[in-house]
Amino acid sequence: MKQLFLSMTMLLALRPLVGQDFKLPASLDALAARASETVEVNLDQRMLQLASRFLDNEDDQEAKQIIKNLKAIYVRSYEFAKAGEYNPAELEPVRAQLLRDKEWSRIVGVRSRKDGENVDVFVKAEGDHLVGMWVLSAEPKELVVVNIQGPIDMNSLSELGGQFGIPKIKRQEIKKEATR
Amino acid sequence: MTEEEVRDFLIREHAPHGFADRVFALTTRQERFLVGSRDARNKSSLVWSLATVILISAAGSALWHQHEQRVEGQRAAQDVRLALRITAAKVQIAQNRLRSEHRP
Repeated sequence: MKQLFLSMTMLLALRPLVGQDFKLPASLDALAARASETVEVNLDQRMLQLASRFLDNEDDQEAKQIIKNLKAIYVRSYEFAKAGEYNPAELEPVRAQLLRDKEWSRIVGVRSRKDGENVDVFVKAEGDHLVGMWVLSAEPKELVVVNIQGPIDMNSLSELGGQFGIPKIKRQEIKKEATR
Repeated sequence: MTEEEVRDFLIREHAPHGFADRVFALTTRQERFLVGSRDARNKSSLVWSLATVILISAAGSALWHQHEQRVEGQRAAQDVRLALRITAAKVQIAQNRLRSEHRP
């Protein structure tokens, strides 16, 4: 019943999701209270432009190129102390909305029964260009939602992990940076 | 000099008519001039002080704004790195999973 209520709340909160540009649903933020580690990133166009002026390390050049024309980046990452602290179904309304919206296409959908790792990547295309992306990742102890708005190069993005001077991501590194 | 001559010499004479008024007018004019120039000097130094304060405030404000912008920008840059790393990691996980599943 509680799960149904949560899902319904999320569904209502996610109604504006059908629109072109939308932010992460506020209901996701409620998960922060239950999470042991939280990463929240909200960067609109102004902040992205400001950030690009400070991405001046040699290692930052690829990141700078990626964000050059972006309109916004929103990230929510929640890590829980033990499995089962959140209901993976809480992401279902988001997923369902994206699946229903014809502007969005799921280009990757990974379901791992062994690891309980589920990753969905949705993109919105305009002509030959990708102009938006959602990443929904649900693991037993971790939930990650990413929304990127604006023209994006998926190849450059995936190459960031392990190349261009940025090491492959490890959870510990993310935690360290988030608490800094 | 005889005693009579000395008495005549020391005898009190009245000032010419209007002398006191002329002296009074002159001193008043000088006083006014002195007060006026002192006021002007005070005004001028006040204006300079104000201008200096405004200039220093403007420069301080500009420097503070620049500092704030730098702090905000560096924080935003750090957020960009973090956001892209999280996103890249997830996309990479998905890609690797797909590759391994499609590997013969």
